[in-house]
Amino acid sequence: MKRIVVASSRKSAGKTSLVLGMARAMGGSVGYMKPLGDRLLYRKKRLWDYDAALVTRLLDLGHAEDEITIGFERVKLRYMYDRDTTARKVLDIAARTGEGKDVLLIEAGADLSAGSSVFLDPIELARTLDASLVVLVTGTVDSVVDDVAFIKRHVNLSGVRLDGVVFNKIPDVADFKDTQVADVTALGVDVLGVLPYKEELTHASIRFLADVLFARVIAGEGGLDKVARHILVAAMSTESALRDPVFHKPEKLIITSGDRSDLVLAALDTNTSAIVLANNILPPPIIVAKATERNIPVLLVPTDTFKTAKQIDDMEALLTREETGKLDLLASLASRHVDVARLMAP
Amino acid sequence: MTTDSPDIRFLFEPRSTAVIGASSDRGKIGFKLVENIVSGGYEGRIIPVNPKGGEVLGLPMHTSLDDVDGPIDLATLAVPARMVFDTVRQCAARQVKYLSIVTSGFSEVGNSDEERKIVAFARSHGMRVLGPNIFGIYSAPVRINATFGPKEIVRGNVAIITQSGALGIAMIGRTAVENVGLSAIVSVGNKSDIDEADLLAYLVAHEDTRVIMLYIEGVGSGQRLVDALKAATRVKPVVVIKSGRSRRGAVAAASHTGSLAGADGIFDAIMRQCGVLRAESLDDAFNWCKFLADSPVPPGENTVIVTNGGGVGVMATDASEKHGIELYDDAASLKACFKAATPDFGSTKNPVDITGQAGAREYTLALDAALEAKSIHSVMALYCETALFDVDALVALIRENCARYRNAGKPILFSIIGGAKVEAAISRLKTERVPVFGDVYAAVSCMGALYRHTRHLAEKERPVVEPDIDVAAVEEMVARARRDNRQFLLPAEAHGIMKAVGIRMPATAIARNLDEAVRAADAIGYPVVMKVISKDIIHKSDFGGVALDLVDRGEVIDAFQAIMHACRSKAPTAHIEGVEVSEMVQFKTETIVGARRDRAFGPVVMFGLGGIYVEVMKDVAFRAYPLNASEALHMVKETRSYPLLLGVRGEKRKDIDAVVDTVIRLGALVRRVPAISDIELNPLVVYEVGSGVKALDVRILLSSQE
Repeated sequence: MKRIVVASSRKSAGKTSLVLGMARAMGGSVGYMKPLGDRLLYRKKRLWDYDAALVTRLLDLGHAEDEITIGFERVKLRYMYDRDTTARKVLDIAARTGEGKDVLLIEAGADLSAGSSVFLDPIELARTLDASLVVLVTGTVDSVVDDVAFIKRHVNLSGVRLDGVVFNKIPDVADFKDTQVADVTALGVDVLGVLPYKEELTHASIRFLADVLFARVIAGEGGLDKVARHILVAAMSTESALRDPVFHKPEKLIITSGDRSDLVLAALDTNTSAIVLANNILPPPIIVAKATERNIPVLLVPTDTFKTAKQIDDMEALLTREETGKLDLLASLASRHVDVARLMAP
Repeated sequence: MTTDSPDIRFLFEPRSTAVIGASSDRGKIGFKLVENIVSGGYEGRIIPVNPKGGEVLGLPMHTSLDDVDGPIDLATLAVPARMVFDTVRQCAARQVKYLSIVTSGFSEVGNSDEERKIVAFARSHGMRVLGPNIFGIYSAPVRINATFGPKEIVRGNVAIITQSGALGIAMIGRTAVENVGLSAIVSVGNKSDIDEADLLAYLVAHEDTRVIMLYIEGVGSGQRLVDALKAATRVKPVVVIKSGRSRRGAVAAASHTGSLAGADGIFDAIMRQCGVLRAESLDDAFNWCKFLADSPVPPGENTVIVTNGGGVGVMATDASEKHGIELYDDAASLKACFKAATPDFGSTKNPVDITGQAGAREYTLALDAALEAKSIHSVMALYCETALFDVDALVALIRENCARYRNAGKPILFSIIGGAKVEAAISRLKTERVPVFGDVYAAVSCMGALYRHTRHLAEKERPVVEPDIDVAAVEEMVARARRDNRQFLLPAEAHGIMKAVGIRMPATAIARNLDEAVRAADAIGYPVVMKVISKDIIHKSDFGGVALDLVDRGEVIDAFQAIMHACRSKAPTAHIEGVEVSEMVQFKTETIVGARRDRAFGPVVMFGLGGIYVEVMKDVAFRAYPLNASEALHMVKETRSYPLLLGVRGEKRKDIDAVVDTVIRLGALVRRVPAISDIELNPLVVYEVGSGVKALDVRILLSSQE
């Protein structure tokens, strides 16, 4: 069984998406673990890693989500484990999750240094598990090559097999291959794939938004799998909002206050994916009734309009398990743009 | 009132009165004041003063107070605002006891410094100040009408204290029309010195005053007013009208106790607590005053309605329910009493319907029977005009029964409805002080006011027992927060204060790291609750800073990480001190108890339905502190949720005594530690009788200044 640590040079590079795409593209039996949690999900009084929970469900791995992650907070990990016990725990999880599998994908923390203080950084993981290392790189044309050069020249990879790098979210794949890949190869690093930027992967589902915002869904629960493709912060009068082109775009998200009944009613009459009401101001019952009838989710949040909008703007649109279309797209991208056969080779 | 203050009798019963700024010009207030005093038949010495001298209504005018011999008990000042202070100095030199400053142009227009200067000077020279910005004072005992209002004031038994000058003058006119006799009417205006509490002290003891009516716009020294009203209502009815329902208090409120009080909530609750009858309109206020001044106290709660029309009978029944009047419902007794007056197609049930064919004979039979019946304690007689009963005969019957009932010590009132003759009869009877009304609701509201006052009198006055509080320990916690420039207390400090006050809270420990959190949870015993501690995070649950029902170490470890992660990501700049680990309390009945320092009334307490829906349900009641256990219990009973404490759907009765004790303790805390502006226990979980209460969360705010 081959073990591959999937790491990234910077955070939010798309490791979970790559893991899902690769697992689908590999076709065989694939195991998965994520020893260091970083997308914390606190449900039913237990901590889960969002990515780990998602991959476990989507790949139907049958493990409890909290059995493939050791922990999140460094304070807890330092409190419970030292280097040896951490290594034993990692090996133990790998043995369980890799049992009977052809490949075990080990998703690392946010970036190359994440988890170093608790012996869970990707390089330590690769050494502990005797695994190959694949680094996912994303950013501008200049920064991605810088990242690879830095890793090659300055990161101590002794005892670790660096299988190669995968570039992600590249706007023009053909141009990138023409102009950059040769430079990377010249550094002595194999390029295992170049994945294109796909806007549809950046759109968040309303269910995901509600989760991240700690929102209370007061209407239109059936519409939570809709996607927000456009966002309008409606802090203006209804007349001005109606003049805004975004107001008339389909699948939009409106952020406003619960006491802006006229504006919310107008939004409910258009193609709206969801309405976020700030400041915990409950709208009149007529709005709840109408939103329910139109199946448009209304999310109530405690923060003010500015903070809510900022939170949404800062948010990384993660995949949810209901978004099967996105999963198919990831699999197709991995098959077409990543050298899966080489990755699987012993 | 300071100890060197002159006796308040000198204001109401002055032996001599000066009018400074008196004038012979009929168009001036200075003339009107002298004219009213003279024409009112004042029994004392009148001293008009004008620097130009001359004469007014045959009285020689003094050019200065220096010319006046003998004591001056009351000086009414009608000079321009800029001359008031000098005039007050002259009064001080002549040892005047009371100043009635009619002049306007002081704090009501922002000139507060001058007003304060005048009062400070007057008080330091043993004088008291009524006003400024008033129309004066009328007092029946010495027949003094030192006002510039109407000349004709009917003597009687109602005293009025009014903050509004214009409305006061209008009220004098209205009392004359309605023949409401006055024992006194005093305008308090800006209340720079003398306020309602000072005046009540005299009026309560004044025998001829049977009812006191107050028109209040704003409350200055609320605690004094509460004490004065409580004392007054134990002796005679006090009717209050309040306008100017300011939103200021609600806007500034940072606690549920503050925001739920609303614009008028605290005033209204405190008036009820004081036994005051609060009227919503002038009509109600005048009707109540007249009725209460002349009506005997009912010997019991059983009221009977006698009517010749079913419709008005039902209206009166509805109104009785609204005004808390108990309608006598012993069918057998009612039948025995009223069968002679009631035809077969009528009804002897209450309301007793003697039918539209009833004439003088049937009314007489019914009212005689009700007067004789020992089990009937008051009567409301209704009449709809019919051709069978002549209005003149009705007037005679009403007059006669009114006198008979008064002599027998049983209240009666009439509501008669009809055309011009009936309306004329009402007007005529009103001038004779007969309790007759054209509107059924107005009539019933009078009986309701009488019963409310009677019940208040019957309530035993219980002492206020101050609970034991370790004030030094509380002050130490407060000082710690002050040193930190905080206006709220951290959980550990709040817990310390609860211990000092004697209110139980769940077992709690502070943990600064995961190791301590686990040890704390092990020590307290599972399940536990965990909450973030940060002065920058007030609404903990909005930040993911609360985890409930953690049943083992694993859950404690996860919760600690989750709280830290959520708070750090949602409030990246917050200083997080650690977490509070507490015993997980089994939720029973959740209530809220609060206390705060009201700007006007000082410490007020609140009780209501608690939990997260406090602001939605708004099921709360208020009282002023100090209050005794009986008043606190009344407050608890006032909420719609009270039945929950009695036990619903087979539940056992809850520990209501412990709730009452908690209310009193919080009130005492706010009173004894003035630095605390707000304290709130939400939820306060109430267990079954004998098991007490536990405050799950406490929020304490400090006032902005010591």
